[in-house]
Amino acid sequence: MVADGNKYWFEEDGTNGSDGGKNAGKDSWEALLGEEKETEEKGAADASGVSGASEAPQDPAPAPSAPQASGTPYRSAYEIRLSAMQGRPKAVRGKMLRTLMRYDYKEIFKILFPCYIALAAATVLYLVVSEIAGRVLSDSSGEFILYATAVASSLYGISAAVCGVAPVVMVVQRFYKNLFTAEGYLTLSIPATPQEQLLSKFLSAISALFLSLIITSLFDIVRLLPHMSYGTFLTNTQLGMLWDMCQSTDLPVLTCIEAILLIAAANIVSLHLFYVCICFGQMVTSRNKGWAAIGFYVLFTFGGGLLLSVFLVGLVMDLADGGGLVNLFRFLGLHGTLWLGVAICLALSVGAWFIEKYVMSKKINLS
Amino acid sequence: MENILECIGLTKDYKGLRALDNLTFSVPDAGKVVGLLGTNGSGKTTLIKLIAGLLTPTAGSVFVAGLPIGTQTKEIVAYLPDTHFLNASFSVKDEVAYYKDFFADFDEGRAWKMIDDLGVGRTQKVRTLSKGNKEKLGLILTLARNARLYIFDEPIAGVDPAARDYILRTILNNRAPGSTMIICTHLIGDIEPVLDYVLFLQAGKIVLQGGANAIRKGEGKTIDQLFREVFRW
Repeated sequence: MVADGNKYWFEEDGTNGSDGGKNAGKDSWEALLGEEKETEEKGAADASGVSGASEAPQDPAPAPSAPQASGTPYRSAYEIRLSAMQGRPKAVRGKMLRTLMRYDYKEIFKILFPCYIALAAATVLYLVVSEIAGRVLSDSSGEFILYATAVASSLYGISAAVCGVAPVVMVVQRFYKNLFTAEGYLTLSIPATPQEQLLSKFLSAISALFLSLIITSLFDIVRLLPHMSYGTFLTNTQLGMLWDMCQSTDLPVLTCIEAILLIAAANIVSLHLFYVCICFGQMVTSRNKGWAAIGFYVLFTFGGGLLLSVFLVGLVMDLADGGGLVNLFRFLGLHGTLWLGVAICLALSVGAWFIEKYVMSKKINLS
Repeated sequence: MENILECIGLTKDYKGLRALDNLTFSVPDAGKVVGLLGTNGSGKTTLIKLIAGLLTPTAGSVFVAGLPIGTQTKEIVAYLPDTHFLNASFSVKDEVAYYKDFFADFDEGRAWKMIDDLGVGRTQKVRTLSKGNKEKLGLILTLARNARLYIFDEPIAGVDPAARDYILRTILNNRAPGSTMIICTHLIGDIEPVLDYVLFLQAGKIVLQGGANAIRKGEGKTIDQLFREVFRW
């Protein structure tokens, strides 16, 4: 009675199971569909002899194999429904990346916008308190104003720190939660390619990170506007400090641009490092994927730090010997070295992209 | 008649454990309800995830409507997983909009009708819904798609008997005409009346398959009784 290996109970003697039961399955399907066809025909014959009202059919839709007008090609019920959708599938596929990014932006900026508003409020508070403190302190000492200034400065500092950290937390959390937790069942069921999924996460993350950097830098400048001088700009703002460093080079504007590119490229590599660690973490374990990702992050940063130390020691020793590496950097010069740094970061980013794509295509673990 | 689903030599290994072992079967595009039955660990969910495109096979291939698994098959396969998969921070309205944005075959009108019948507020957050209502919402969103192949992974597990009746009724009354359904479960007794065809899976292999009526007539037992016999410990 019970199947033995690939032989099924309904198989006649002599039929084989070597096809893995496919033909056995096919036979039983044919038996099922043949039986139903007989039942339908019998039902139709009985109904033709019945007078009066009868029960409404359970399923009013035509059967998929309903005969169609002769001369017209066969169209299944699905194809008929599809034509009624008037090109919607193509439209949805066409803007898949945009739609994915819209949802990623919504989730990320749901948290970031309140952070920006808080930073704006802290900046305004700082400006107001600073202005009051300037006028009161010039007349007399006011302990309350001193405390208020300290509080306003602290609030500003905390808001700026949150605006610096929150984007990183949000983009990493979005990548992990949307792809590798229970939400991933829906995310990965939608008709988007792994490349589209990754590109959406990456582009929304990068724009969130850079926007946050620009906003915190701008508010940094706005905070100091009432007392802004060139010297204050150079010593008290991030952009100013960068410009100050570039001033001593031969082409300060170009050096500044190259430095900003290098910082941007390094941030992209950092983002990819998070993504790769999350991908590896979910590959090695079904539970505690987050902790596994943290473990890989520690491993890679420790390993990266070790490599960098070895490189720097090598460089110092090379310097003492007047060796090739130092000559290379002398040849490249400052600008060449900066561009080399950008190229290395981009190469690492491309490698990380291929790793993420491979994991998304072949090694997803949603259990 | 073409096949809506075809698996050829399908094998899936997990770190030395073989979850599916050279599985070969096909399901014709005949608008039937197929029961994928087996005990825990028999490979049902692995098979379903392979069809839904959430896993890639170690060997063999899967075709849906003659297409290899990819974006085109995801357009015609509606999958309901056995876990809470909706974004908890979304409202019901947001979830409907999400489905409408990503699935071209999503019927918004039908979805709202079923949601309103459920009695759930449109602006209510998913995280505030009861466990049963979350599952029902997931089911409604899946069924509101005019898919060619529906796959339900344990749709009635972990819910009360009244909810099970609701789920089964909703499944049968709201699927797109002509579509095929694969229902994976080990609660055979509840699902048996709706099954046209059954596939019994054990240790990653098909041990039995056939028309539900044919099996009942041949064995003189219900599918549930046969299941208990086949998978007796």
